[in-house]
Amino acid sequence: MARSQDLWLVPIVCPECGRGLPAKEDDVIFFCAACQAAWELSGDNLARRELFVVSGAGNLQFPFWVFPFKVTTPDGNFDTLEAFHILIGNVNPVPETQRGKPPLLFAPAFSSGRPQQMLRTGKLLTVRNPSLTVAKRQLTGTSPITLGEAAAKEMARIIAITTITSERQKNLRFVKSLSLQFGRGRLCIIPFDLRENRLFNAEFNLEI
Amino acid sequence: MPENAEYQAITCLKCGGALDFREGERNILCKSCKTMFAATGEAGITRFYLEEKLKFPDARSAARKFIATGGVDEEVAQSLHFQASELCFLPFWRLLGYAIGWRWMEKETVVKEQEVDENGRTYEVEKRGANEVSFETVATRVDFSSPACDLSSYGLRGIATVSAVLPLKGICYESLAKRSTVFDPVKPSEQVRKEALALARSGLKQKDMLRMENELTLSDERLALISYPVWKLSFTLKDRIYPVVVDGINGNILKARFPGRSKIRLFAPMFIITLAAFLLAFNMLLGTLVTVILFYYIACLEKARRSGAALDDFLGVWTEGPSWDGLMMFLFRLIERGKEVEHG
Repeated sequence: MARSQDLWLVPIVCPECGRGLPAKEDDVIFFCAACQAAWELSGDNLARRELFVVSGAGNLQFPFWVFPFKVTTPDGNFDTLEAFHILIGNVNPVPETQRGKPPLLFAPAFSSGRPQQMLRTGKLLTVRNPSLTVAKRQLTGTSPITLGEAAAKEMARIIAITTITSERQKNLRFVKSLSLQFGRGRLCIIPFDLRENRLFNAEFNLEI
Repeated sequence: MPENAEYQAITCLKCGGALDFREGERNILCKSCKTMFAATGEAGITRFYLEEKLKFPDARSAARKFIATGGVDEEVAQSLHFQASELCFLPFWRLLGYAIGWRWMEKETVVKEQEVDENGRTYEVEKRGANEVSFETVATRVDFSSPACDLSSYGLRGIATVSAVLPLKGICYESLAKRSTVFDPVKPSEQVRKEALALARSGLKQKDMLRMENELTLSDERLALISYPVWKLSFTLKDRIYPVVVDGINGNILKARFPGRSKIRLFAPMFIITLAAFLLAFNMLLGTLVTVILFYYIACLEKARRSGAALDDFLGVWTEGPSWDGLMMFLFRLIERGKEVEHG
């Protein structure tokens, strides 16, 4: 069998400034502090990824993949935030400005020894569906980004199913007929505060 | 194969320093020049190998030690001649990640109801209640290892613990093939994913479950093909070859087959001779009949041998057919070789 090499090594250096990028053994996204750019391995090269930091207070910063998505069920299409609220039984009013926008699905971009907790975190953020405001600050102290977009999309599908009401979940035909379509994912960093072993985000009124 | 053959390993692209990988890691730091590299492979599958810790003389010593202590007859052990050695790299799939999905279950329920008998006493009866339906998400870590081809003749079943502990080397097929036999994977990666998911799915079943539906998928998957070193040695005794497979990491004997211990057999030949002599002395007709039956028995065995049946179980070393030599060997043979010693 003619194979020159079965393992390829790609140097992790910023394609823009040429600096070596700091990376841990599991990272899939590499951040250049000088260029304020995020890079992802794509084939043999590093490709730029959009990454933004969400405003809010907190010392701990967790990365998430955010996907706009659309749910199709036998009951119809749920492609706006307002329709999604109906699907998941969320009685909180949707702000006027957000109504026509597609719902956003939040999938953790970090690994955890407790995968159920990762799903739960994604579910809570997706149900809350906060409007994201980009912070004008530099990225520091972020948890390693260890889940790529493809892996996060797999998780996103399950997170979406966990958000629907429990009565609908028990309807097997409904669950099986669910069809989900995701848009291109964007990376966002969400700040959290650690209080009594729980993560808080005051902006989103969220506790994990 | 030359013992000190030189080969090229995957080294740092910047300084040429040696690189050691750990299982599941995506990136590797060169300890010499501190450059970070992302490791990848064809279709995202990284290929590694575990470098053999046992060199050829050590492997042969391990095999000889097993021969001396593993139940092989002393005389046979001394007569065994080392014939050849071959370093083989056997492929194993390793899959790490998460199995995530959902499980829908329908369970039987039992309800306790109070009833009153004709004497006015109340008693409890258990009745079948309405079926309970539940839905829950599933998320577990996957740590799966599976041979990438049929390795039953090598006696190696899994490498999960070893590959998680020992440093891995990046595989370069051409350079590794110069000094060893590198087995290619036969099992496709898709099959490994299916097996890993089936294993995760098998853990979802519960008692009293009437029906279960689930959907599981892999996320954050790290699929690697790891080649594990074994020494395949062969020993000869007369015209037969006896293979020994030695673990290239810890020197354990994974699979071996040797001639069994020799046993002295007195009863069968002596009984037949005594019987024939006794009958011939007291009843010529009966004695002749027994002798004819004896010859017929030998002829039947020869027929069985020609049809492929194992004669060794009946006649030990005699497999030459119905000749006078064979007959004499059958009647007077005192030493019988036992069953072969098999390991792994």
